[in-house]
Amino acid sequence: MNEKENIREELKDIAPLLAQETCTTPFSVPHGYFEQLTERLTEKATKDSTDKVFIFRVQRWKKLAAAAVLAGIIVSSLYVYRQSTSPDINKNPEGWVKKEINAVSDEKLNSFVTLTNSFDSLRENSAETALHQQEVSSLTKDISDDEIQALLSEISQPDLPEAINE
Amino acid sequence: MSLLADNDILKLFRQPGTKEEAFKALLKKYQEKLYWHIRRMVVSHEDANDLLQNISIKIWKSLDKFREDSQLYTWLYRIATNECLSFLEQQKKKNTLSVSDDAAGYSELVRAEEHFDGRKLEWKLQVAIQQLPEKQRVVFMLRYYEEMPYHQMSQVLETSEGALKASYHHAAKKIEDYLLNH
Repeated sequence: MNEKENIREELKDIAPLLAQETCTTPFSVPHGYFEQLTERLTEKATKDSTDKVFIFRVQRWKKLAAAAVLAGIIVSSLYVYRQSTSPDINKNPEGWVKKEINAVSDEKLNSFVTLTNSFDSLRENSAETALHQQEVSSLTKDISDDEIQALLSEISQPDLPEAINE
Repeated sequence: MSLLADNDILKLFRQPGTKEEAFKALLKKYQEKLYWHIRRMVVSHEDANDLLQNISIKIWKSLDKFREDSQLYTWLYRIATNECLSFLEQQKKKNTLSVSDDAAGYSELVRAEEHFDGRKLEWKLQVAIQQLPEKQRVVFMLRYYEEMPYHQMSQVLETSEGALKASYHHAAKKIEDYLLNH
């Protein structure tokens, strides 16, 4: 039994109506469609595969070129950006300082401020002491040493300002 | 002009000087069979023609790699069938149709064909086939129209013979029901 008969027998069991007659495909094709089909398909296949290889090569080359150009643009942009955002210390010292400070962490700035404050308070204390000494010198310049000694002996030691004792 | 044997076509194709000649011989031998296989799957002539061109390009590019594990025509049908199934899948996504809408859509394409006659069995059969799920449609067509043995269908569709027999029986039963009721 050949395959055609096998199929017919197989169909008789499951689809008797379908098995009664062999149906052909009823679709139609444009007139003369198959006449030059081999040539058309061959031309398309050989031409198209050559074109595609060419397109692939061009696209690959283009991709590499585009990647190189893009990388160049990114590097140049970064350089220009850094140049424009970094002030010249001679032309714009304030801007330079501001930028440098921005680069320092808050923690470091806080410790610097604390340290500076303690120096300032020391400096203020020294200035105050110097002022007292000046005042005392100007007040006592017309008084002789003996008179001062006499005054001191009248005043108890703890009441004297510290500056005079030093 | 007599048609070349598959072995001769393959030998000629592997020689650079006769590659194109071999390709033409292959097309002469199989192009009409492939066209009708595709046409029955997608119904529209324009779509079938486009698909046949794409399939020809694939054959041209990959025939060198054909290892002769199967028959040449089985290999050709595998390429054509896969291309058709991909096309139908794309169409489904494009139209965002459900499976039932899709089947109805292809049945409508059959009804819109020139010379359609809904009283004739061959046209009713086409409408019924388009209402099957895609895989069952392929199985039925390969068996009914191409008279392909199950072991070759198994190579084309990469499915076991048992599964193919079951699928063909389901498809034939559904078609018979349709023909009896319409």
